[in-house]
Amino acid sequence: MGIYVITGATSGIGAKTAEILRGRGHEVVNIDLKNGDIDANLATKEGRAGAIAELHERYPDGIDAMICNAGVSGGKVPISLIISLNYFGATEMAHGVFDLLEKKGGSCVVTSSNSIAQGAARMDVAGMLNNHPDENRIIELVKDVDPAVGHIYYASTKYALARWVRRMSPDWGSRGVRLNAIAPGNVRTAITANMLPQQRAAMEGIPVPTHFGEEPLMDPIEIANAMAFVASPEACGLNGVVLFVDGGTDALLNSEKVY
Amino acid sequence: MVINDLVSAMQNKDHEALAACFEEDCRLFDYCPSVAGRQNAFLYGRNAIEMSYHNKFMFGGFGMLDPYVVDERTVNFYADYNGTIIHALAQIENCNDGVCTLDNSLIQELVIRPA
Repeated sequence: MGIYVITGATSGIGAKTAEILRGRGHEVVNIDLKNGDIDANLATKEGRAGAIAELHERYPDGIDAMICNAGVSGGKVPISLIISLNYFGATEMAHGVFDLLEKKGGSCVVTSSNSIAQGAARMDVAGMLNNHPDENRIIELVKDVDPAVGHIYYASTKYALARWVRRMSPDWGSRGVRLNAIAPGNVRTAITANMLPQQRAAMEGIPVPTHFGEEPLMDPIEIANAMAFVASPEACGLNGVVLFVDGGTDALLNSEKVY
Repeated sequence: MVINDLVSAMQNKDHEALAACFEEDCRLFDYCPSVAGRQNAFLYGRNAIEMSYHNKFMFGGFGMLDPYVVDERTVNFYADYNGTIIHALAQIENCNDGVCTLDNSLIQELVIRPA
Protein backbone atom coordinates (compact mmCIF):
# COMPACT_ATOMS: atom_id res chain seq x y z
CA MET A 1 0.00 0.00 0.00
CA GLY A 2 1.11 3.53 -0.63
CA ILE A 3 2.00 6.57 1.42
CA TYR A 4 -0.23 9.51 0.53
CA VAL A 5 0.45 12.95 1.97
CA ILE A 6 -2.36 15.46 1.81
CA THR A 7 -2.56 19.02 3.05
CA GLY A 8 -5.75 20.47 4.48
CA ALA A 9 -7.35 17.11 5.14
CA THR A 10 -8.95 17.90 8.48
CA SER A 11 -12.21 18.84 6.77
CA GLY A 12 -13.94 19.20 3.41
CA ILE A 13 -12.54 17.79 0.18
CA GLY A 14 -9.26 16.88 1.84
CA ALA A 15 -10.93 14.89 4.63
CA LYS A 16 -13.06 12.97 2.13
CA THR A 17 -10.04 12.21 -0.01
CA ALA A 18 -8.12 10.97 3.02
CA GLU A 19 -11.09 8.80 3.98
CA ILE A 20 -11.19 7.22 0.52
CA LEU A 21 -7.46 6.57 0.50
CA ARG A 22 -7.46 5.08 4.00
CA GLY A 23 -10.38 2.90 2.96
CA ARG A 24 -8.19 1.51 0.20
CA GLY A 25 -5.56 0.58 2.74
CA HIS A 26 -3.09 3.41 2.16
CA GLU A 27 -1.19 5.26 4.85
CA VAL A 28 -2.40 8.86 4.80
CA VAL A 29 -0.59 11.78 6.36
CA ASN A 30 -2.68 14.88 6.92
CA ILE A 31 -0.77 18.15 7.17
CA ASP A 32 -3.03 20.87 8.51
CA LEU A 33 -3.00 23.91 10.73
CA LYS A 34 -4.47 21.85 13.55
CA ASN A 35 -5.72 18.32 14.17
CA GLY A 36 -3.40 16.96 11.49
CA ASP A 37 -0.93 14.12 11.64
CA ILE A 38 1.57 16.91 11.19
CA ASP A 39 0.44 20.32 12.40
CA ALA A 40 1.94 23.13 10.34
CA ASN A 41 1.01 26.58 9.13
CA LEU A 42 1.59 26.23 5.40
CA ALA A 43 1.03 29.94 4.90
CA THR A 44 4.49 30.53 6.37
CA LYS A 45 7.91 29.58 5.11
CA GLU A 46 8.79 28.16 8.51
CA GLY A 47 5.67 26.03 8.63
CA ARG A 48 6.32 24.63 5.18
CA ALA A 49 9.98 23.95 5.95
CA GLY A 50 9.06 22.15 9.16
CA ALA A 51 6.50 19.94 7.43
CA ILE A 52 8.90 19.10 4.61
CA ALA A 53 11.63 18.20 7.11
CA GLU A 54 9.22 16.02 9.07
CA LEU A 55 8.21 14.14 5.92
CA HIS A 56 11.85 13.48 5.05
CA GLU A 57 12.48 12.18 8.52
CA ARG A 58 9.45 9.90 8.53
CA TYR A 59 9.67 8.64 4.96
CA PRO A 60 13.30 8.62 3.80
CA ASP A 61 12.46 5.98 1.19
CA GLY A 62 9.91 8.18 -0.48
CA ILE A 63 6.17 8.79 -0.74
CA ASP A 64 3.64 7.76 -3.36
CA ALA A 65 1.66 10.96 -3.63
CA MET A 66 1.57 14.54 -2.48
CA ILE A 67 -1.86 16.16 -2.62
CA CYS A 68 -1.61 19.92 -2.11
CA ASN A 69 -5.15 20.69 -1.14
CA ALA A 70 -4.93 23.28 1.66
CA GLY A 71 -6.38 26.62 0.68
CA VAL A 72 -8.64 29.43 1.70
CA SER A 73 -11.36 31.29 -0.15
CA GLY A 74 -11.60 35.04 -0.38
CA GLY A 75 -13.91 37.52 1.28
CA LYS A 76 -12.96 37.73 4.91
CA VAL A 77 -9.33 36.72 5.23
CA PRO A 78 -6.30 38.91 4.45
CA ILE A 79 -5.17 38.84 0.82
CA SER A 80 -1.71 37.86 2.01
CA LEU A 81 -3.10 34.64 3.46
CA ILE A 82 -4.78 33.76 0.17
CA ILE A 83 -1.51 34.22 -1.68
CA SER A 84 0.75 32.51 0.83
CA LEU A 85 -1.45 29.49 1.48
CA ASN A 86 -3.10 28.89 -1.88
CA TYR A 87 -0.08 29.39 -4.09
CA PHE A 88 3.12 29.11 -2.06
CA GLY A 89 1.56 26.59 0.34
CA ALA A 90 1.04 24.29 -2.64
CA THR A 91 4.02 24.92 -4.90
CA GLU A 92 6.60 25.05 -2.12
CA MET A 93 5.29 21.87 -0.55
CA ALA A 94 5.33 20.10 -3.90
CA HIS A 95 8.87 21.24 -4.63
CA GLY A 96 9.93 20.30 -1.11
CA VAL A 97 8.91 16.67 -1.45
CA PHE A 98 9.83 16.21 -5.10
CA ASP A 99 12.80 14.02 -4.17
CA LEU A 100 10.54 11.80 -2.07
CA LEU A 101 8.09 11.47 -4.96
CA GLU A 102 10.92 10.75 -7.37
CA LYS A 103 12.10 7.82 -5.24
CA LYS A 104 8.80 6.03 -5.66
CA GLY A 105 7.68 7.32 -9.05
CA GLY A 106 4.84 9.07 -7.33
CA SER A 107 2.41 11.78 -8.29
CA CYS A 108 1.44 15.24 -7.16
CA VAL A 109 -2.05 16.72 -7.31
CA VAL A 110 -2.95 20.31 -6.50
CA THR A 111 -6.37 21.80 -5.87
CA SER A 112 -7.15 24.62 -8.25
CA SER A 113 -10.69 25.88 -8.94
CA ASN A 114 -13.10 26.09 -11.83
CA SER A 115 -13.25 29.84 -11.12
CA ILE A 116 -10.03 30.10 -13.14
CA ALA A 117 -12.17 29.85 -16.29
CA GLN A 118 -14.69 32.49 -15.29
CA GLY A 119 -12.66 35.59 -15.94
CA ALA A 120 -12.27 36.72 -12.34
CA ALA A 121 -8.52 36.19 -12.05
CA ARG A 122 -6.14 39.15 -12.31
CA MET A 123 -3.55 38.13 -14.84
CA ASP A 124 -0.98 40.56 -13.46
CA VAL A 125 -1.16 38.84 -10.08
CA ALA A 126 -1.05 35.39 -11.68
CA GLY A 127 1.91 36.56 -13.74
CA MET A 128 3.83 37.70 -10.68
CA LEU A 129 3.19 34.40 -8.92
CA ASN A 130 4.31 32.31 -11.89
CA ASN A 131 7.12 34.43 -13.25
CA HIS A 132 8.62 36.18 -10.22
CA PRO A 133 7.48 34.17 -7.21
CA ASP A 134 9.05 36.33 -4.53
CA GLU A 135 6.61 35.78 -1.69
CA ASN A 136 7.81 38.64 0.49
CA ARG A 137 7.61 41.24 -2.28
CA ILE A 138 4.18 40.12 -3.45
CA ILE A 139 2.82 40.11 0.10
CA GLU A 140 4.20 43.62 0.59
CA LEU A 141 2.47 44.70 -2.59
CA VAL A 142 -0.98 43.51 -1.48
CA LYS A 143 -0.78 44.34 2.19
CA ASP A 144 -3.29 47.19 1.96
CA VAL A 145 -5.73 45.54 -0.44
CA ASP A 146 -9.29 45.29 0.91
CA PRO A 147 -10.17 41.67 1.83
CA ALA A 148 -13.58 42.28 0.25
CA VAL A 149 -12.01 41.71 -3.18
CA GLY A 150 -10.47 38.46 -1.99
CA HIS A 151 -12.39 36.40 -4.54
CA ILE A 152 -10.32 38.04 -7.28
CA TYR A 153 -7.09 37.09 -5.55
CA TYR A 154 -8.47 33.62 -4.87
CA ALA A 155 -9.10 33.11 -8.59
CA SER A 156 -5.69 34.59 -9.37
CA THR A 157 -3.84 32.19 -7.09
CA LYS A 158 -5.80 29.23 -8.41
CA TYR A 159 -5.13 30.30 -12.01
CA ALA A 160 -1.42 30.62 -11.27
CA LEU A 161 -1.46 27.23 -9.59
CA ALA A 162 -3.02 25.57 -12.64
CA ARG A 163 -0.52 27.27 -14.94
CA TRP A 164 2.32 26.20 -12.67
CA VAL A 165 1.14 22.62 -13.12
CA ARG A 166 1.09 23.02 -16.88
CA ARG A 167 4.56 24.53 -16.92
CA MET A 168 6.24 22.09 -14.54
CA SER A 169 4.59 18.84 -15.56
CA PRO A 170 6.69 18.08 -18.66
CA ASP A 171 9.92 18.12 -16.69
CA TRP A 172 8.48 16.37 -13.64
CA GLY A 173 6.84 13.77 -15.83
CA SER A 174 10.11 13.07 -17.60
CA ARG A 175 11.62 12.37 -14.19
CA GLY A 176 8.88 9.96 -13.19
CA VAL A 177 6.66 12.26 -11.15
CA ARG A 178 3.23 13.11 -12.52
CA LEU A 179 1.81 16.53 -11.74
CA ASN A 180 -1.87 17.40 -12.23
CA ALA A 181 -4.52 19.78 -10.96
CA ILE A 182 -8.12 19.31 -9.95
CA ALA A 183 -10.44 22.26 -10.56
CA PRO A 184 -13.52 21.79 -8.37
CA GLY A 185 -16.82 23.59 -8.78
CA ASN A 186 -18.86 25.05 -5.94
CA VAL A 187 -18.66 22.62 -3.05
CA ARG A 188 -20.68 22.40 0.14
CA THR A 189 -18.55 23.37 3.13
CA ALA A 190 -18.99 24.73 6.63
CA ILE A 191 -18.71 28.21 5.14
CA THR A 192 -21.43 27.69 2.52
CA ALA A 193 -23.79 26.43 5.22
CA ASN A 194 -23.91 29.95 6.64
CA MET A 195 -24.17 31.95 3.42
CA LEU A 196 -26.27 35.08 3.32
CA PRO A 197 -29.25 35.00 0.90
CA GLN A 198 -27.47 37.25 -1.61
CA GLN A 199 -24.35 35.08 -1.42
CA ARG A 200 -26.43 31.99 -2.07
CA ALA A 201 -28.17 33.69 -5.00
CA ALA A 202 -24.80 34.58 -6.49
CA MET A 203 -23.57 31.03 -6.02
CA GLU A 204 -26.66 29.69 -7.79
CA GLY A 205 -25.80 31.93 -10.74
CA ILE A 206 -22.90 29.55 -11.43
CA PRO A 207 -25.00 26.45 -12.10
CA VAL A 208 -23.76 22.89 -11.75
CA PRO A 209 -25.47 20.99 -14.59
CA THR A 210 -25.39 17.60 -12.85
CA HIS A 211 -27.23 19.22 -9.94
CA PHE A 212 -29.88 20.90 -12.12
CA GLY A 213 -33.09 21.37 -10.13
CA GLU A 214 -31.45 19.94 -7.01
CA GLU A 215 -29.03 21.06 -4.30
CA PRO A 216 -26.82 23.50 -6.22
CA LEU A 217 -23.62 22.75 -4.31
CA MET A 218 -21.49 19.72 -4.99
CA ASP A 219 -20.69 17.24 -2.24
CA PRO A 220 -17.00 17.02 -1.28
CA ILE A 221 -17.08 13.30 -2.13
CA GLU A 222 -17.62 14.19 -5.80
CA ILE A 223 -14.30 15.99 -5.86
CA ALA A 224 -12.52 13.59 -3.55
CA ASN A 225 -13.22 10.58 -5.77
CA ALA A 226 -11.55 12.35 -8.69
CA MET A 227 -8.66 13.50 -6.54
CA ALA A 228 -7.99 10.00 -5.23
CA PHE A 229 -8.06 8.66 -8.77
CA VAL A 230 -5.72 11.29 -10.23
CA ALA A 231 -3.26 10.68 -7.40
CA SER A 232 -3.35 6.92 -7.92
CA PRO A 233 -1.23 4.73 -10.23
CA GLU A 234 -4.40 4.00 -12.22
CA ALA A 235 -4.07 7.55 -13.59
CA CYS A 236 -0.53 6.86 -14.84
CA GLY A 237 -1.34 8.39 -18.23
CA LEU A 238 -2.35 11.74 -16.79
CA ASN A 239 0.27 14.46 -16.53
CA GLY A 240 -0.14 18.22 -16.85
CA VAL A 241 -3.90 17.95 -16.77
CA VAL A 242 -6.19 20.54 -15.19
CA LEU A 243 -9.23 18.38 -14.57
CA PHE A 244 -12.47 20.28 -14.07
CA VAL A 245 -14.56 18.38 -11.53
CA ASP A 246 -17.52 20.72 -11.53
CA GLY A 247 -20.47 18.76 -12.81
CA GLY A 248 -20.18 20.48 -16.19
CA THR A 249 -20.14 24.15 -15.13
CA ASP A 250 -17.07 24.91 -17.21
CA ALA A 251 -18.58 23.21 -20.26
CA LEU A 252 -21.75 25.23 -19.77
CA LEU A 253 -19.97 28.57 -19.50
CA ASN A 254 -17.06 27.87 -21.86
CA SER A 255 -18.29 25.33 -24.38
CA GLU A 256 -16.01 26.70 -27.11
CA LYS A 257 -12.82 26.14 -25.13
CA VAL A 258 -12.18 22.66 -26.43
CA TYR A 259 -8.50 22.90 -25.71
CA MET B 1 -46.92 34.74 -29.19
CA VAL B 2 -43.79 33.05 -28.00
CA ILE B 3 -41.66 35.89 -29.36
CA ASN B 4 -43.35 38.29 -26.95
CA ASP B 5 -42.74 35.87 -24.09
CA LEU B 6 -39.11 35.68 -25.15
CA VAL B 7 -38.73 39.45 -25.14
CA SER B 8 -40.48 39.76 -21.80
CA ALA B 9 -38.24 37.13 -20.21
CA MET B 10 -35.11 38.77 -21.61
CA GLN B 11 -36.12 42.21 -20.38
CA ASN B 12 -37.03 40.89 -16.93
CA LYS B 13 -33.79 38.89 -16.78
CA ASP B 14 -35.89 35.86 -15.90
CA HIS B 15 -33.93 32.75 -16.86
CA GLU B 16 -36.76 30.37 -15.97
CA ALA B 17 -39.31 32.25 -18.07
CA LEU B 18 -36.83 32.38 -20.91
CA ALA B 19 -36.27 28.62 -20.79
CA ALA B 20 -40.04 28.09 -20.76
CA CYS B 21 -40.17 29.57 -24.28
CA PHE B 22 -38.21 26.60 -25.61
CA GLU B 23 -38.93 22.98 -26.32
CA GLU B 24 -36.91 20.53 -24.25
CA ASP B 25 -34.72 19.55 -27.22
CA CYS B 26 -33.80 22.87 -28.75
CA ARG B 27 -30.87 25.10 -29.51
CA LEU B 28 -29.89 28.73 -29.11
CA PHE B 29 -26.94 30.16 -31.01
CA ASP B 30 -25.71 33.68 -30.29
CA TYR B 31 -23.08 35.07 -32.66
CA CYS B 32 -22.91 38.54 -31.09
CA PRO B 33 -20.53 37.95 -28.14
CA SER B 34 -17.50 37.62 -30.42
CA VAL B 35 -18.10 41.22 -31.48
CA ALA B 36 -17.66 42.12 -27.82
CA GLY B 37 -14.54 39.96 -27.47
CA ARG B 38 -16.36 37.09 -25.81
CA GLN B 39 -17.15 33.51 -26.75
CA ASN B 40 -20.19 33.01 -28.93
CA ALA B 41 -22.86 30.84 -27.34
CA PHE B 42 -23.99 27.48 -28.67
CA LEU B 43 -26.54 26.11 -26.27
CA TYR B 44 -28.28 22.80 -26.72
CA GLY B 45 -31.35 21.95 -24.64
CA ARG B 46 -33.79 23.93 -22.49
CA ASN B 47 -31.94 23.23 -19.24
CA ALA B 48 -28.68 24.52 -20.68
CA ILE B 49 -30.42 27.70 -21.81
CA GLU B 50 -31.88 28.18 -18.34
CA MET B 51 -28.54 27.65 -16.61
CA SER B 52 -26.53 29.71 -19.06
CA TYR B 53 -28.85 32.69 -18.91
CA HIS B 54 -29.05 32.42 -15.12
CA ASN B 55 -25.32 33.07 -15.21
CA LYS B 56 -25.48 35.69 -17.99
CA PHE B 57 -28.19 37.69 -16.24
CA MET B 58 -26.44 37.54 -12.87
CA PHE B 59 -22.77 37.87 -13.79
CA GLY B 60 -22.49 38.47 -17.51
CA GLY B 61 -24.28 41.81 -17.53
CA PHE B 62 -26.47 40.64 -20.40
CA GLY B 63 -29.58 42.60 -21.29
CA MET B 64 -32.02 43.14 -24.15
CA LEU B 65 -32.47 46.84 -24.78
CA ASP B 66 -35.12 48.62 -26.85
CA PRO B 67 -36.63 45.52 -28.47
CA TYR B 68 -38.78 45.87 -31.56
CA VAL B 69 -40.78 42.80 -32.51
CA VAL B 70 -40.65 42.71 -36.31
CA ASP B 71 -42.87 39.67 -36.75
CA GLU B 72 -43.72 36.37 -35.03
CA ARG B 73 -40.18 35.12 -35.59
CA THR B 74 -37.96 38.18 -35.39
CA VAL B 75 -37.00 40.76 -32.78
CA ASN B 76 -34.66 43.67 -33.46
CA PHE B 77 -32.86 44.91 -30.34
CA TYR B 78 -29.70 46.20 -28.77
CA ALA B 79 -27.83 43.43 -27.01
CA ASP B 80 -26.00 44.65 -23.94
CA TYR B 81 -22.96 42.56 -23.11
CA ASN B 82 -21.93 44.17 -19.85
CA GLY B 83 -21.80 47.64 -21.35
CA THR B 84 -20.83 46.76 -24.90
CA ILE B 85 -23.91 47.38 -27.04
CA ILE B 86 -24.42 45.40 -30.24
CA HIS B 87 -27.32 45.94 -32.61
CA ALA B 88 -28.80 42.47 -32.99
CA LEU B 89 -31.52 40.39 -34.57
CA ALA B 90 -32.98 37.39 -32.78
CA GLN B 91 -34.55 35.04 -35.28
CA ILE B 92 -36.71 32.04 -34.43
CA GLU B 93 -35.70 29.51 -37.06
CA ASN B 94 -38.09 26.77 -35.97
CA CYS B 95 -40.98 26.22 -33.59
CA ASN B 96 -42.62 22.96 -32.57
CA ASP B 97 -45.78 23.89 -34.47
CA GLY B 98 -44.12 25.35 -37.51
CA VAL B 99 -45.85 28.71 -37.26
CA CYS B 100 -44.74 30.23 -33.92
CA THR B 101 -48.05 32.03 -33.49
CA LEU B 102 -50.02 29.69 -31.25
CA ASP B 103 -50.44 30.21 -27.52
CA ASN B 104 -48.42 27.09 -26.81
CA SER B 105 -45.77 27.50 -29.48
CA LEU B 106 -42.31 26.58 -28.29
CA ILE B 107 -39.02 27.52 -29.88
CA GLN B 108 -36.88 24.76 -31.35
CA GLU B 109 -34.12 26.97 -32.69
CA LEU B 110 -33.23 30.58 -32.01
CA VAL B 111 -30.31 32.38 -33.63
CA ILE B 112 -29.06 35.79 -32.52
CA ARG B 113 -26.84 37.63 -34.99
CA PRO B 114 -25.37 41.10 -35.32
CA ALA B 115 -27.89 43.21 -37.24
